[in-house]
Amino acid sequence: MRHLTVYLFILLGFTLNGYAQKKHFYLTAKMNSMFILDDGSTSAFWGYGLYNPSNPMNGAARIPGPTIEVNHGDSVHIHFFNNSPESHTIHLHGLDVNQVNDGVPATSFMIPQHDSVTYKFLANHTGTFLYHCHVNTSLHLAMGMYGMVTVTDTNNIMYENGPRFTKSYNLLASDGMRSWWDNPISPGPFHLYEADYFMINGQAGSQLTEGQAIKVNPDDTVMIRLANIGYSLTKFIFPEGSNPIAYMSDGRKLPTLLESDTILIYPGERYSIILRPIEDIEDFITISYHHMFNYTDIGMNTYPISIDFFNKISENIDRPSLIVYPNPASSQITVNTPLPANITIVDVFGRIVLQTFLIEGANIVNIQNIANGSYLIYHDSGIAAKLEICK
Amino acid sequence: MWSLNVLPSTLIDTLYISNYVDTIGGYFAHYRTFHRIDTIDKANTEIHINENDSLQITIINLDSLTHDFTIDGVLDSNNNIYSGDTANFTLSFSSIGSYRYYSSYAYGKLLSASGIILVGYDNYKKFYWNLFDQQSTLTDSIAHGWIDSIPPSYHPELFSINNSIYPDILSDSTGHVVGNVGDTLIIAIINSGNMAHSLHFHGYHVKILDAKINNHIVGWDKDTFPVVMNERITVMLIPDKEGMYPVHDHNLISVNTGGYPGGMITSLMISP
Repeated sequence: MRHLTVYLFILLGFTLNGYAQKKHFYLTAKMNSMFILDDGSTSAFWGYGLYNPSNPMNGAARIPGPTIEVNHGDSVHIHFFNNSPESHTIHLHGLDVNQVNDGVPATSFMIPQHDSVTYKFLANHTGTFLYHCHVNTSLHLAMGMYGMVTVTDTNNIMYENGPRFTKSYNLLASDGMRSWWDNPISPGPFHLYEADYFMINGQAGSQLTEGQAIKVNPDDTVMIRLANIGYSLTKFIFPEGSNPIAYMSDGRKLPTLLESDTILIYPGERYSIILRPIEDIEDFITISYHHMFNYTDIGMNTYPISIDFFNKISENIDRPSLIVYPNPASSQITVNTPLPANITIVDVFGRIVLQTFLIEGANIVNIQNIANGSYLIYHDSGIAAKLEICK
Repeated sequence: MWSLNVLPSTLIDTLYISNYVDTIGGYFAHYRTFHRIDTIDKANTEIHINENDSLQITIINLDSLTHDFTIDGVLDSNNNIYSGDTANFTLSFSSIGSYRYYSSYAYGKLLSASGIILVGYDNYKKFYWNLFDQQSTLTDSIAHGWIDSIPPSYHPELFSINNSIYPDILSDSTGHVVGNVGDTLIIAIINSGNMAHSLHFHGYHVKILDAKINNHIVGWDKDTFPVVMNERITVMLIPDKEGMYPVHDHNLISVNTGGYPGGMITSLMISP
């Protein structure tokens, strides 16, 4: 029976994706780690890290924990070794695992000190997910026991028949309360938690440097995974002209795209966006953190972003280009594309007016329902072209 | 050619308003509720109306203070029901989905006088989650009319669903979701409290059928979604596997009332 289960698992994996594999991750939990804060001081935290299976006692924790990166269809095994004095679990947030793998002590089990277990799931949806400890969650999560899980199609398509991206970034928002980090043994009543330290990928303020910038080069279509594992409402405010478009939330395709420069993410939510820029940008994404009671602004970070838009639409003989004619046009255009892909036509405000799939070579695209004006045509490969419509 | 249609009818119901005090999870608090029996019920009564039907409802105020009966988008608040009085309303609803009835007086809505009306989804199993948060030390002042709004220093410690906390909620047949694999389960959710909550489902994604405030998420499949103040949301869950899975606010200050796990948590119990 055990062998049958394994065979079915593998069969299903290959059905979902020709490149599906069994992936193994070795995660440890520690409660005696330190990290450096924005002001140069250090603080204690509890967290997850990777360990070498030949020497489980030597794994080091990080905040956030290491990202579990898998491909669509993979059979994922997370071998968890608890190298800490208290019991912990791993809850696979949003992955819709069965009860035994859900990581909730009351409905599955806890892993005591120096014990180990293997959590299993099939990565049957692309998207952005989380993991965190579900033992005394209010405290363990605030102490740093969380990380991201990303499920990616091997061809970098967001979902079946969805847009393709060439590069991706993860921005995980979280928060902490320094007095809890200083004294987790008796932090006080949990309902009095007031976050006073705010992070993106475990870093804050001046730690978020140019070196980590989101860079959109001329050939890039950039996807950004946004997630919030903190206790506050988080707003990701993108610079004007970067034109973020949300295609997915919580690992599922959105029925209608969300086009907004500000993406609000409540605790536990995730979004996957693609940038469709309409101008050069050297700026910052502002991440503001808000109380869940009255939405008071309680914290802020900025994350650098750099977009080379001018060269994205410039004709360049060194790379494939998107050829559009006639241009200006009135009722239809021919788009000659070097690769089969989706194209997205946006107006000068970044609003999507048309999306369609093109085959390699020449394609006729009907633009009769698009008003006069200037537009940009984005190809999933990252290249783009200008279009003028004049009737 | 003719078809068999179910003719619209009128649901006739009666709710009483009364007040009580209780200690939940170790916290003493004042409450006011609308309930169907003339003795105190700690949870506000949920009302289901079939699609296209109307509601003829009688409200009897057993409380010592004046109340009204308000339903955003359906019935304005200009209908005082004085202590000891009775009022009658005939209401129709333009669309299916979740609605919230409440007393708009501060000593009413801030003490949980707020319940769910679900219209439609007639042939499915239906459940009701009325989210509420309270700061115990404020409720005495609210009950006596000494304050009529929530101060900026609000620090709630009482987080409940249907005025019940986990694990007590498991004995509430409207709040504890019980079903089978393949069932279509409808859950009507309102936020009667004073802050936003972020509900997270373990084990499943749900489809958002209706959201009166954050209506851009209608049609989305989500495992976590906001239920902001005064929100009315309807979700559909079709479980694909058996098991017992929690659902809770992911703002984790709210899952400790009475100790962890407690407060704003309920559960899905799905059988084969």
